[in-house]
Amino acid sequence: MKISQSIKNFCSKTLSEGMDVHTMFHIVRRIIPDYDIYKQTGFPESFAIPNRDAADAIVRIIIERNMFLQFIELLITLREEGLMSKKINLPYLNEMIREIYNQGYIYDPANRIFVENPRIRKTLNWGTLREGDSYTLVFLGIDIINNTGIVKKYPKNMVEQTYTEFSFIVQNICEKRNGRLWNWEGDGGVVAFFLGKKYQDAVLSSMEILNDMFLYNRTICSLKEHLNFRISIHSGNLEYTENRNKLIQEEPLKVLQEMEKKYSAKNTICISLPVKMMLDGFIADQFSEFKKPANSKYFHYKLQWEQ
Amino acid sequence: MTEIYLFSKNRKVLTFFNKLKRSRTFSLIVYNPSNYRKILSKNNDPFFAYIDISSFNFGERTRALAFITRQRKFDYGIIDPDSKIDDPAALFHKGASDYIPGSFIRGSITVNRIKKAVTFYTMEPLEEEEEKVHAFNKQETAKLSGSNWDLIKAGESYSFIFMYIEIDIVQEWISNSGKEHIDTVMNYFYKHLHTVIKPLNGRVWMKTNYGALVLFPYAGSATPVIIEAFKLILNRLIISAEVYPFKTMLSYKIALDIGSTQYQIRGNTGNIISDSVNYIFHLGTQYAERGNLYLTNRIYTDIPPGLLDYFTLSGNFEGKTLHKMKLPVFNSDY
Repeated sequence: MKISQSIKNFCSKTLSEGMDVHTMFHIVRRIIPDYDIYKQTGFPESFAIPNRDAADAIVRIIIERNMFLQFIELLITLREEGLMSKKINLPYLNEMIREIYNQGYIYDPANRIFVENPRIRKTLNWGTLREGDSYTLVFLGIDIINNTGIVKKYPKNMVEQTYTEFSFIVQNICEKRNGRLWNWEGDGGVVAFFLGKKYQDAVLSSMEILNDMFLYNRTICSLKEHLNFRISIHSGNLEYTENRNKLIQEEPLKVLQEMEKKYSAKNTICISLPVKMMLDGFIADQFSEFKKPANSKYFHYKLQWEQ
Repeated sequence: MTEIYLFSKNRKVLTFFNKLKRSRTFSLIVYNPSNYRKILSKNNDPFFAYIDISSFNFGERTRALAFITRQRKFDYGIIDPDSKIDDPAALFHKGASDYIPGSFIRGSITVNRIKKAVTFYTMEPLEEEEEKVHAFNKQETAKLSGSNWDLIKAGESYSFIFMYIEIDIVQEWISNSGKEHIDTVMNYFYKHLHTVIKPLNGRVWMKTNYGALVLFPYAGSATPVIIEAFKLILNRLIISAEVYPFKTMLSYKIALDIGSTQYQIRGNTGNIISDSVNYIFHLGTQYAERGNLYLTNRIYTDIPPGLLDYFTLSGNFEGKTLHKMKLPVFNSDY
């Protein structure tokens, strides 16, 4: 994000007018633990640094280290929770949030971070995941069943058209809930959810895919048979990296692959226990335990109709 | 002397009407409200009826209003001492001649007020009556409304797709919830309905207590509207979770038909006489069961072939064959 002069000024005034130098150091050391202003500014340690100079120096270092948004996120948290049980006055914070919004970022209170505004741009890391940092994400894996059989049986253009329509359905449904397609290989892929109610968003996306595919198969699909698929949803902690190959090796994604192989069934959603536990009751109630093979770690849902 | 039948056991209302007993123009007869159906059904003499809805509990009130608004043999007014009716104007759409709210029940009712109510329909100019009849007769030959609202003119008759839709759990909630809560539910409902019908060029034409009559211009195919209605039932769980903040399952009852009516802009529909409009209201309020989607025979032909297996014959209502959508099954529902 480009840090404009006006945001820099607001940030500097927030610090210098809202707190003393000692409090500034205390706050900045939460994200830069070894921060030493004397080293940065060259002032002798016996010298009392004026508020405005200290604030300017802190703003400079957080911008240099590309931690500006992280710092504002910290200030928002401090405004809500206070510092060491005391309320903290942070003037101009709203003005900064507004400037950041104008640059295409919105604040996600669930995760307490700034993320890109999906109306302006959509990147794979929501504009906020940092290389090497750990995050809890929810993953939705989906793949077409009998891909090889379909590819052999139907003309190439018909298969391509059908698979494109399938990917559009998945992508549209997931992206409207802020999911990001991390991996797509023609007959399926992985969608990641990170923001807001990520567990519910992933599960409701999967249910909508199930319903839309039900209609698609009966109204639009050009194949002479239904396009069948299976969905798995699991959540877990991973170390974020831009390297896709490395990312796919992370533990939660390995579990997702195992779920797809062992526990997923045709036109069914399979979710793991950590996902089920985070759902609203009436949604969680729709999922049943696996009977064959008996496994209480995974639960499934399929569309059923009255007779 | 015109007979005024008053169905009330509310002391405040009875006092309010007391003066009428001395009137030379009207003869007031007070009845026990629980006998309203028997008295109103069997009496063939001309009279005007006032029903006090505070004399009924919630279930009886709904039934009484449904019953009285169906009647065509007599004119009627509704007395609402506790202001339980959210949309009094809708009563006039359904044929009421008077509405007396709680705030008006002070002192005594005037003879002039009763006169206005009794002559509410008979006082209409003859030309207007002729226009109504004319519009009524024109309905069978009404032209297609096409797909562009700009070309649909007020006062002209067209064929439309009619959708009656109601959020049906509200009837259950109303006994335990305040008006403010129900208003909140309805705000969510209308907002969501708007997002659903807008891409299909639909417009809320009339609002009912807990729902709406939606008009879609009809250019020869109702398939997209059927699919959207199907999706409303299919996606019920998702809608309940994302559109409403109540963390519980909600449901809609929906009725679809293709019919004809004179078009008037919303809010100016009080004088419309249309078999199609009456029918869709009757179907939605009297026949449709909770959570279900019904299609008349006329619109049934537009169901995509792949979805035909998901509709079953439901029966006959007021001379039209109906088809009902099979419902998706959810755990711990209702």
